[in-house]
Amino acid sequence: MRAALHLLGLFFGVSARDSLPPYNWLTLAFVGHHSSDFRQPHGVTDREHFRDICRRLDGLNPVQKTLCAEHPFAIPYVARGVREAIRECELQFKFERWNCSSRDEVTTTPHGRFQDILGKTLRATTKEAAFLTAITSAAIVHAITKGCNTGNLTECGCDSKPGMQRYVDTETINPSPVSIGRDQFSWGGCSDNVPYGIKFARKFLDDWHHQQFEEGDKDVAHLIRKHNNFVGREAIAQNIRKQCRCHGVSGSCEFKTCWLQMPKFSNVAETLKKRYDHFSVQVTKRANKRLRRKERNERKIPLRGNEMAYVQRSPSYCEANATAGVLGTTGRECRHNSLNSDSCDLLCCGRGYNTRLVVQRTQCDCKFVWCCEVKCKQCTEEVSIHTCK
Amino acid sequence: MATTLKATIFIFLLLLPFCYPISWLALGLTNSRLDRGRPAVTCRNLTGLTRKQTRFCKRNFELMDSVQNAAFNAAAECQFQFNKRRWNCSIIDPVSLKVVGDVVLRQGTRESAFVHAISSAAVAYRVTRDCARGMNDRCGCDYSKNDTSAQHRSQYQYQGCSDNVKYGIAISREFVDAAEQKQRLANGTTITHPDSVINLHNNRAGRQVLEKALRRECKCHGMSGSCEMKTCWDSLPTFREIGLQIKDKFDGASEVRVVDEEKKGQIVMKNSQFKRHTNADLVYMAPSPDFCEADPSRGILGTRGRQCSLSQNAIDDCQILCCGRGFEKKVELVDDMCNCKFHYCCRVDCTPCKKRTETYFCL
Repeated sequence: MRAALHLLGLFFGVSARDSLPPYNWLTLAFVGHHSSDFRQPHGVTDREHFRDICRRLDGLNPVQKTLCAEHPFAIPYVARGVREAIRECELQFKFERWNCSSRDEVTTTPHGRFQDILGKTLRATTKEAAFLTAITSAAIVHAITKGCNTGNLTECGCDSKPGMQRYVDTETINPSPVSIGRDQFSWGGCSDNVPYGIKFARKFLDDWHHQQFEEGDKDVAHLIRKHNNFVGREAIAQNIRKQCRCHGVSGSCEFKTCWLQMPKFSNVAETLKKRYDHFSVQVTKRANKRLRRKERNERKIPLRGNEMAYVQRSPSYCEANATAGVLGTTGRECRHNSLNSDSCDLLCCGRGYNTRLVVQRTQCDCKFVWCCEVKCKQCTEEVSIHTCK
Repeated sequence: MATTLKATIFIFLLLLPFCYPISWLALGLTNSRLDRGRPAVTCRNLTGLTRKQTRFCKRNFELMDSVQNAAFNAAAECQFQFNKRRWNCSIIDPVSLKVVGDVVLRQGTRESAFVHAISSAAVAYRVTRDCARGMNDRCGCDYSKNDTSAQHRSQYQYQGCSDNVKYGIAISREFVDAAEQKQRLANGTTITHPDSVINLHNNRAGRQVLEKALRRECKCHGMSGSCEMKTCWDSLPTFREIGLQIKDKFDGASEVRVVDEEKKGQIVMKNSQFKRHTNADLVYMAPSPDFCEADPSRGILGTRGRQCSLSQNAIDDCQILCCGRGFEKKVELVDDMCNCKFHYCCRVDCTPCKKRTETYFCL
C-alpha cells in the first residue's frame, strides 16, 4: 500500500512537477518536536540557517515561511499543535462516516517527500473542512501559549496583565457561602498568555488569506478560512477560567491569589465538535466583503464566533472517491447494538457487515500474593468484530 | 459427469413453470375472501402457488386465511423495514398481483434472503397467533409446558395459553418450503438447486427467530393480586419486533457459495476469514445491484422521485438515496392553526396561519 502510494507520488512527481505542491501547513505535523533543524546552532544565531530550513518546508505559504524564519523556535510548537489537532479530530470523529481521514496524495519535491495530509478535505469548503480549520487554529493558540508558559519561547512569557483578558469567573457563577464578601484577590502565579498565542495564530493563519482576498482573489474560501480560524481561537478565548488559591490562617481565604488558565485541549475539541454538530451555517457562494448566510431571511445577521461557516454540502462519505480524497466506510469497524452513528446500519450505509471472531487474551482472577507479587490467570475470550462491507 | 449435470440443470431451468419461489406472497394482495364452500376450485385459482402448495391448500384449507394474512404482513413489514433504502421492498405489482423483482427472487441476493426469512416467519407467526386465538379448529394453545411437577409449583405454574410456536413453524415449513421445487434429472434422481438450498436455509433462519423470541408472561393471583399464585404462559412479541430482528440479520448476512456434495448442496463461506454462518444467520450468494436506476426487466424501480432527507448521518440521506444525481426541494405552505388558546369552558380559539414545509425528492 505504502509502496503503491509512493509509486503514485513518483508518477505525479514526473507529470505535474512544474507546479509546486499545494499549500497545506498541516504537513508541519511531520516536523518532529526534537527536530535538530530548529535547535539553536552553537555560537551565534544564524538567520540564514533558519531561512534556509523554512524555505524547504513545502506546505507553508510565503507569509508562513517568513514567520517561520522570524520565529524559528515557535515552529516545533506549531508542529506539536498540528499533531494534537489531528489526534483530537480523529478521536472526536471516531464513530462517524468521516473519521478525520482522507486519501493523501504523495509527491516528491526537490526537498523530499511531500504528503498532502488531509489536504483534499481541508481545501474543500465543507463542514468537515470548517472543523479541521477551526481545530488546527485552536491548536496553534494552545501550543504557542503553552510554549510561552513553560518559558521555552524567548519572545513571550506569562501574561503580565491578566486583568485585560476576557475570562469566566467560576466563583461569580456559583458563589460559595464562604467566599461572599471576600472577593479580594490579587493576580499572581503564571497566567496563560492567550493573547500572544492568538496574535501568533492570527498572523500565521489569517494574514495570507487576508492578503489574497484584498489583492483581488475574491474567492469566498479565503473568507471562510479566516472565519473558521476565528471560531477556533474563540473556542479557547471564551473559555479561559480564573483559578484561585486561598491564603491566610489555615487557608481561611483572608486573601487570594488568582491566575488565568485556558481550557484543556480535549475540552476545546469537544466544544468545537458541538459547534460542528449544531452551529454550522451555510453561507453564500460569493461574497464581496463579508460572509453572508445562505438563508434568505437571515442575510442581515452577521456570523458569530461560535458558528462555523461552510459552502458545499458534505458528501455522504460512504463510498470511496479518489478525486475528493474520500476513503469510504468499507472495512471500518462498527457496533452491532448501537443506535448512534457508529451503528452498523448507519456507518456501513446499508451495505451490511462482515463478522470476524478474534480471540482476546486477558489477565483474570488476579490475586495478590504476600509479598509482593500479583498472580493472574490467562483468560481467553472470543469477541466478534464487525467490519463494514 | 459434471458438465452433463450442468447441462441437464440448464435444460430443466428452461422448462420451469413461471413461478418464483416467493410468488405466493401475492396472496396478500388478493382482496377477495377465500370461498369456503369450494376449497378445491379456490385453491386452484390462487395465483402464485406451486403444485405442492396447491395440494397443501386443499388439505389445510382452514389455515389458508392465516397464510393469506401472513403474506400481507410479510410484505408490509418488509416495506416498513426498508422504506428509507434504495430498495424499498416493492416486490408485488398491485395491478397484476404478480410478484415483480427478478433480482430479489432468483439471484440469491441479500434482499432475497430477507424476503424469504420474513415471509416464512410471517406464516409461522400468523398461524401460531390465530391458533392461540381459537380461529382454527385444528390447533389451540400449547399445553405441553403446563406441567404440574412439584419443581415449579412453588413459584409459578404454566397454566395459561402458550403460543403454539411449534405448530406454526411446522405449518410454515410445510407451506413455504414447498415453494422450492426439487429438480428431477434425466436419470430419475432429484437434486436441489443451489438457489433453493439458500432459500431453504433462510426460511429456516426466519422461523428460528420466533423460537428465540418466545417470552414468558405471568399474571399474579391471590389477595389483591399478592402473587400467592402465578399463572404463566409463553407469548410471542409483536411482529414488528420479529421484523427488526430479521432486519438485523440482513445487515450481518454472510456471503456464501454452495458446493455439491453427494447431491446435497452444502453451504460454505465465501471468505473463510470471517465467522462461519450459523443456522440462525441469513446467507446470500450474489452481490446486490445498486438499485439506483430503474430497470423494469429486473424488477428494479430506481430511486427517481423518492423522498430523501438532508441529515447527514441517515440512511435516507439525499446523497446516498439519489445516487449522486442530485435532488430537488419542494417548498409548500401548509394551512395550520396558530396561537391556540383554551377558553373556559369549553372552546379553543386559533388563528389560521401558514406553515412552511420543505421536502426533498431525488431527481
